[in-house]
Amino acid sequence: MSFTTIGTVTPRKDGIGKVTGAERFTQDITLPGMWSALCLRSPHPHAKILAIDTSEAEAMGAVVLVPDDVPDLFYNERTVSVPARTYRDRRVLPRVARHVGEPIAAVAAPSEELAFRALSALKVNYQLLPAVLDPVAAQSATSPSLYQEVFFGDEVVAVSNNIACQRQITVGDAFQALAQSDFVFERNYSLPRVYHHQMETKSAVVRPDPDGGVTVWCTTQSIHNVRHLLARIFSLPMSKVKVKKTPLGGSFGSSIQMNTVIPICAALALKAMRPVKLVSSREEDFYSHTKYPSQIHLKIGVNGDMTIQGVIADVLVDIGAHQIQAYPYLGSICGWMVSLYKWKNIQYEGKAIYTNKVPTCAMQGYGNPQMNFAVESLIDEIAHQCGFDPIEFRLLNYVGAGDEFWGQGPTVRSIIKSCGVEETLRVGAEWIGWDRRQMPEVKSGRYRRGIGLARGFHTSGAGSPLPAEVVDLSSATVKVNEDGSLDVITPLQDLGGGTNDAHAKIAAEVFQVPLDKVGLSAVDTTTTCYDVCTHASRGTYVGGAAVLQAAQQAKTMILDFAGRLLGEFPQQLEMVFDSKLAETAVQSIGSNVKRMSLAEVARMAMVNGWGTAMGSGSYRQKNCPPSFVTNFVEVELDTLTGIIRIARAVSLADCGTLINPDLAAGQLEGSLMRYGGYALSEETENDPDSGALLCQGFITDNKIFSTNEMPYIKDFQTYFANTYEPSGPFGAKGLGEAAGNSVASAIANAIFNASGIRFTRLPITPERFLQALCERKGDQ
Amino acid sequence: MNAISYYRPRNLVEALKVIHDYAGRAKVIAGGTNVLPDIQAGKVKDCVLVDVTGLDELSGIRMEGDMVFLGSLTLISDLAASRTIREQANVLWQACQVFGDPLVRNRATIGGNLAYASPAADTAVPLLLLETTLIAESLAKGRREIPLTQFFRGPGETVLAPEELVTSLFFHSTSSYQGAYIKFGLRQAMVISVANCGVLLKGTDTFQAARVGFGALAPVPLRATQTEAFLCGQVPDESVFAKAAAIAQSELHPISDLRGSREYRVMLADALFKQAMRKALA
Repeated sequence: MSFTTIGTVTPRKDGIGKVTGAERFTQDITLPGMWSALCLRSPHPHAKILAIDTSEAEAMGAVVLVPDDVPDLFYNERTVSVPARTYRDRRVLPRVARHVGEPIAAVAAPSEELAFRALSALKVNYQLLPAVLDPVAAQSATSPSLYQEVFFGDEVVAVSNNIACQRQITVGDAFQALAQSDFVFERNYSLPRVYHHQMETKSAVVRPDPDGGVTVWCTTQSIHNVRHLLARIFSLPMSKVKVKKTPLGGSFGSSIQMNTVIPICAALALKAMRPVKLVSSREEDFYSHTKYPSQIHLKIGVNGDMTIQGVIADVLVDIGAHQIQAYPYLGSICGWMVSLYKWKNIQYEGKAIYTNKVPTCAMQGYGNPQMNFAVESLIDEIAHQCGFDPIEFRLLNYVGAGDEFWGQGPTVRSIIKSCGVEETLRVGAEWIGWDRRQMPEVKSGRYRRGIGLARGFHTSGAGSPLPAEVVDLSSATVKVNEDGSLDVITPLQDLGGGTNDAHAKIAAEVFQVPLDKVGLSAVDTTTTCYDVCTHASRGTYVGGAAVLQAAQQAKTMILDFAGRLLGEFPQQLEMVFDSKLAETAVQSIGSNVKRMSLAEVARMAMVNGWGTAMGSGSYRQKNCPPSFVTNFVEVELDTLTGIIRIARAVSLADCGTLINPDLAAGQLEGSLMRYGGYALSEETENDPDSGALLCQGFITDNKIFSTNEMPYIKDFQTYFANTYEPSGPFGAKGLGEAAGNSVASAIANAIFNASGIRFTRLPITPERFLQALCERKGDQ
Repeated sequence: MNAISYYRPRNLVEALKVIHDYAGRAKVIAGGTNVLPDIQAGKVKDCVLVDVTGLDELSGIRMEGDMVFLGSLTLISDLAASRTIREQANVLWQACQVFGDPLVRNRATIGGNLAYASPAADTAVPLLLLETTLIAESLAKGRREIPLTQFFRGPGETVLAPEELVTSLFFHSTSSYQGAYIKFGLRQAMVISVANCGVLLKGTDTFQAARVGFGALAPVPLRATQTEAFLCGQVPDESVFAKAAAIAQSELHPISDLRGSREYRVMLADALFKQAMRKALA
């Protein structure tokens, strides 16, 4: 299929604003009479707030917010799951601090300086409670508890042994299948807590409006979900909660929820009755959310003919102090396992444990990088131990076209229609020189190289034929202006990946207009229909499909107007771009005998009083097609310092039609860098005694990889499989999360190939690598 | 109460007076690459910040005969771009290339890097190898010279009196030496060293002189004097490097912290020393 705009490399619509600094992010919003706010954060991992003396701060002229000031309503910051499947355990300010860094009070003052002074003048009387800092010990009968009860949907449920939630999933009989398998392999994998490191720290500006409502600028991936929660917490009609779609400085999932600071800022603004801005410092942001650290126990049964017989998996997740999406996480992480290989028999048990640590939330891949590391490490080990060809073993057992895919846990399933797994494996093997790779035994010397492979995927959205436990719904409006240019109106946030550019391109393609003539409207919750959230790599696949539907409706109206003007049946008309006249024309199909410019049609429709050509509506995708990504990595180990370098790599993706080819390649490049760090460096752990983060919220000792850690350009290749997703807009699928899910697994497999050492715990730091090397020498 | 007041003296005399008047509470700030993070972390509070960035007379690179003089406010980026430093103090020049990142190099000063007394400071080992002398000034004591080898007392501690300010430093040209500085961090830029090592060697067939220094491997950046003594008169080969590395390891007393354990640092000392020797002789 050939396209005119889809698949072309174009400058980003927000590019000039971003590179010149003209773009206004939440932190850039300044309003007349605006006050500055700051949060008081608990220095203790677990403490009851007995009293807060605000008198001195108030005497300075500050407005102070304490737990008694906020509505006594318990909510979950994330509202992507259906309400009946959502755990609720937090209020705007808690009466018990449950992690170091949890906001327990806030101040607003006319200047930032005064806010700082007022904050230091607050006196809190804490009753210290014993802290729960180990997810295993947390389950013992003698452990202190974080909660007695929480809400699940509308029900009050008791919490015992700090178990926040659990899920069991059974398909067939895995115990019997493993008992009858030729070989059974078993391993424990441990994946670290890491911080999102998004550029923009979580911030909000809230302005109380004369009608009693609020206007909100904030760091979020979902303006509509922020509106839902603010309306509910502050008992406002949604029509009075106007959340502005504000450019986002990256997220990696860190703003899938209504961020903690947003309702605090709203409560302060409503109490002070003036606009208030609340910006998190980087150190505060570290204490806001982290990725889900997970321990995965995996047991796989396989027969000598390379067929997999069954899997038993136990997952333990240390979720920290609050549930954001622990319950759906336990379902999703099982789904990522289910959809990797044809297990036939599955026994899964997942447990999420409350601890007095920073709450965990989604981060790029949502459990998929964690599960992928476990499965792709063990699959690689099985292939090695049993003498199977690692590529053929995967090709024989992978879940692909015609198979069922779990896109967001057990209730979100659809049949796979497009699949490039085989192509990515074959092309990648050729590029990296897979056939020439040598086994670890023959390697010696200070620097040792090894090649590894891993394959993975991620869903595109959370749609399924039937309603499920995850809400998936989008909307869009496209209108044709009186000069033939278009306005695209979408509530979807662009997290930085170019999602909104994809939307503009889809509209441009439908109308055959130059991309420059498609505008992206500034919108808010009062001017757009509902969209759940930019998450689950759904921006292009779901949001783009909503734009496609709206654009096609608007096109139907244009053809109808043109038919009237030209005296032709609308079905006999088409739109073409006339490059000589540099204009889009509506003309008879295959001939320009009857022809008018699009601009003229739109203008005459206005002059004649017929109306504006437009399309608008909600849209739900009924599928959740996986985008497949395969990574081949060659590492170089320095056996003296322990440094592991990514020497060469190829990342191969099947994401259907490419809409923004350079941005898609950028997703793969960025993911090699980010997940290189996940594999080799990043860890944001807590001090086991104080409960504070070991890095204390400072980037100084919590670095992500930079371009310096990347292979040279000639040594890194990206590749896109030639696939077309029939259910996607112009054949497209998602990519953002798929891009990273198998990177760490490929790196670990390459380290095995270089050294003969299998790592089951990430990150594989230089020190841990050297330690393992020394221990192995000790064995010999 | 976290009370921080701020002074910005216009000249050295004013600066020395403020530091004198607030001796004990005065905290000198130049580039701010250490002080500002410390304020944010709550390690520095209730102090008088004395911003010396207006003292232009304390900045600059100058040669007199075979002596190199550096003003204490000379920026790392100026050193990294200086032909004089590259030719006369190449080991320092190497360290400046890997110091922080471009933003930090544009703010951080050589005097600040020393006075902060981090065991990991990137310019400390090269300046130790260059046998640098510091000049400290104060109203009370006037002007005095402090050999860098006697300057550091522990992490964050120096022999400077509370009212003293490092105003300049100087060392002899080492253009006839071969030197190398190896920084080891957990990534390649904008990191604090887990360990670092520098060497400065004279002689090709046998070592006529050898200076060896290590950073982040003891409470202070230090010269490995026994290692140096061993190397003198030796021929440069791998077996000599190995013996020297073993001696060096016995001279170090690293700690365990977030960036690495004691054991790991000892292993690194061996690897970095050998790497530095090879690089210097290459």
